[in-house]
Amino acid sequence: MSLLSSINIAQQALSVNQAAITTVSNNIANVDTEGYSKLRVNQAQITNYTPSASNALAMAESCSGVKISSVTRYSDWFLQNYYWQENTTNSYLTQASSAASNVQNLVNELKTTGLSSAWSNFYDAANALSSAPSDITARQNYVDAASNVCSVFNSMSSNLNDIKNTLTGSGIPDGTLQSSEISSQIDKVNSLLDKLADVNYSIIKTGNGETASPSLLDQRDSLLSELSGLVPVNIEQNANQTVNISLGDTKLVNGTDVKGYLKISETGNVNNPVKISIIDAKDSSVTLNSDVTSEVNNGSIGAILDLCGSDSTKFTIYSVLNNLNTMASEFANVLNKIQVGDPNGDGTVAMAMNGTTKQLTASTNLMFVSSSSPTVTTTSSSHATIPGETDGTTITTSSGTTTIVTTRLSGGNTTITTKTQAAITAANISINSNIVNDPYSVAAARVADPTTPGITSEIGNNSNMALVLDARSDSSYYTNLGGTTLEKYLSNTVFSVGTKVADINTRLENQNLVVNEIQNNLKAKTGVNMDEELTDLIKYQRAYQAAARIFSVCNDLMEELVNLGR
Amino acid sequence: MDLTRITTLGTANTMLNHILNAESRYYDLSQQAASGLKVSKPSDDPSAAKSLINIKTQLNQLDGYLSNMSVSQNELNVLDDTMGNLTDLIDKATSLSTEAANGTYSEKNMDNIKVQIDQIIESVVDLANTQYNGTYIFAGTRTDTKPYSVTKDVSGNITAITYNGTPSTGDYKRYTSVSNGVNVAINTTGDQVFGSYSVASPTGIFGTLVNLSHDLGTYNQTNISSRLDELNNSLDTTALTRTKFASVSNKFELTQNTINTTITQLTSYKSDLEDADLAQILSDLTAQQTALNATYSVTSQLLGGTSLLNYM
Repeated sequence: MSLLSSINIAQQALSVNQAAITTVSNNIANVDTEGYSKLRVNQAQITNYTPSASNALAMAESCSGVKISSVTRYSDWFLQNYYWQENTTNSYLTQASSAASNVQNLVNELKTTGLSSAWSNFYDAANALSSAPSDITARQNYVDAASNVCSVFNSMSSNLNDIKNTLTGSGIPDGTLQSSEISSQIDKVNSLLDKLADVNYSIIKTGNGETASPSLLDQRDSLLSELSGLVPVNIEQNANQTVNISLGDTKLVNGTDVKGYLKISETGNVNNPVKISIIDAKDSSVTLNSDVTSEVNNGSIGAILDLCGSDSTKFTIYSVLNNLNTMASEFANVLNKIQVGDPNGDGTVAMAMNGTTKQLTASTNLMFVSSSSPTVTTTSSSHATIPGETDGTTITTSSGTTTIVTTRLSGGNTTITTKTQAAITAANISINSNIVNDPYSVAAARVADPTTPGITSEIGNNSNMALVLDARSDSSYYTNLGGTTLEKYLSNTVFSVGTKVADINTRLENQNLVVNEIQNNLKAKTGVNMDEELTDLIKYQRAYQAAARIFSVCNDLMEELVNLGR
Repeated sequence: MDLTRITTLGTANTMLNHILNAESRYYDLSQQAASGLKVSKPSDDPSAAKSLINIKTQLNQLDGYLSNMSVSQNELNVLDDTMGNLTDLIDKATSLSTEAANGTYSEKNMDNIKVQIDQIIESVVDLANTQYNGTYIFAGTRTDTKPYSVTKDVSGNITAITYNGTPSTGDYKRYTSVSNGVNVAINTTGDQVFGSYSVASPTGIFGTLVNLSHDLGTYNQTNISSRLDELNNSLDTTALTRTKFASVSNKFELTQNTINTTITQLTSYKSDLEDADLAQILSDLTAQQTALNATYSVTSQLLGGTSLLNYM
């Protein structure tokens, strides 16, 4: 026991308190750092107590100062894990809500633009034409209004497809997947997996378990927060504080190794445009799991998959597009049937009166056609199917949307060309150019017998326009609208979109509350409280001051001793 | 010990969330107050949105019926005026014929009356060729064809008045759409109202008038007397046509009234659905503003005011 040992103890106290103040300082510095876990220095006394020490003096001498026994990182793995799980759902809903709002804006029929307004204008024009069937301006307006309905269908369809393409690409290998949102999010997942494996490596390297650097653990947790927002992963912590990550049953990160990377690819099916598989290394062709798309049912990537897929229980762009296509094709088919056919089956004939009788034929005078190119197949035959004709003769037959052209070649051979017109959809519906070029081709008239003499003068006949107007509110004209009219079907579609968007928004609000609550709890467990730090600061400052005081006392004592020996 | 640690960042985040929530509610209310609409996108209230779209469609449809009827109403008025003028002309022809049938009338007087009757014929032809808005109203559906043409011989006597419109036996009706699936014919044909004249088959008022003119030319008083009955029949036909289309016109008026009532109801329902209750919203807005101010003040106190630092 010597005076020097007191000085040693005081010196230890100085450095321990210095370290404690450093930690406080670090806590204060990071008071606003998101994801920072408060650190606390744990102190313990150093004892050199030996059983042989038999007297009080020896006991006192066995006290040999203070040391830092450990540094506690404030954390709660259970709560943290719970946060990651809920964060996955939260980020699913955030992504879904923003994309769904975009879709909703496109079908916001409450605005003065949109399909219902286009239809209103169209029927206004139909009323006007019905009142003045011989008026070229009324005809022109009617054709323009019909053409406008087509444009609205086209642009709605293309805008919806744009949203889908931005999110997932078109579904066919055309370069749109690489620049899509889902592709960049998958890249982010893969880079997070790499970073996590690196952090795992550093954790083992710097302290193997217990003493791993707290900043690495903070970094690990913030990477996991980011990852959990993208895909629903399972996270398990090992005894040495590294984490393993798996998706479904497939391990992605195991300690310091990335075992599997996510890969996104086109399916070729526009209704379910992409699939996700797991490969063993970046750009590798070795597949560990060929399709984990159904496992990715949460997180922002899950939200994109759902929105761009065709699951009828989810809110999908597909269902909105499908409804649009149904409306476009029903609208076109019914008006085409009124224009060239006999929708009531009463034997009457639709006619366009333009000075010379024009009894309408299906192929050239339809109101609406598909702007997509028809599918063409050509077959050759060695059988002369056009007997008795000269070479080069062609015979054209049409039925419905199919046109068959048979051409006689030299030597009695024939070629048969079959052209099938694409079905009308919202994307391709367009007004027949023959009608645009000659608005008198619009069949406003409907007559019992087109061969009646003088029939060409019946330009005031508006019976067919009456059918156009009737069809607006008579659901029996439509076969695929579930017993409603076009405009009711549209409002039902808007209702269903609105309900689903509202549902997503409500769920997001609730989930925000849940996540905020967990975050608050987590912050309460791991965050920095300034007052607490200031209290500690004063405490350590006082301890430091006292230890320094011991120095000066011991110094005085030493001086006494030195003087004593003089 | 179950004391929750209140952390500085946690407090800041929580307060920030509160402010953001309060501001978002404030923003929503300001939006509603500014636009006057409580439903601006379908998800605000899906079923109201659906009803609003349906109402919009219905209103547009009803407006269409109203404008159809108002166009047709005008034509019906023209038709009614024409029938009125025709009645006057027939009355005039009747009184002239009554004079001519009087045995004391000289041939010179008869010639005089013939000139007047010929003039009446010209006027009736003009009436039969009445156009409204570019449409020959008595031509059936041949609305661009002048329905009557007159042929005369060298001495100026009428040899034929031919009807060129859609015959009453054909598809002559022009329809006006007045309500769901209801289309009302608003026209008749010239041959039903005026008839036509040829030597072989004189019909209607034209047949009578041209025959009368010939009878006056030949001073055939016996025939002239018998024409009086024919003129009377024509008066009946004219009155009948007038009544028939007056009832169509009445029907239009009734339908217009019904539609206007429906429009008023729909408009008020629409307003209930989409219009924000301004009084309610402004009071909510004030309340929300107070709440927001309170949040601001508490936040600044909590983050800036309460700290041990102030006492060190």
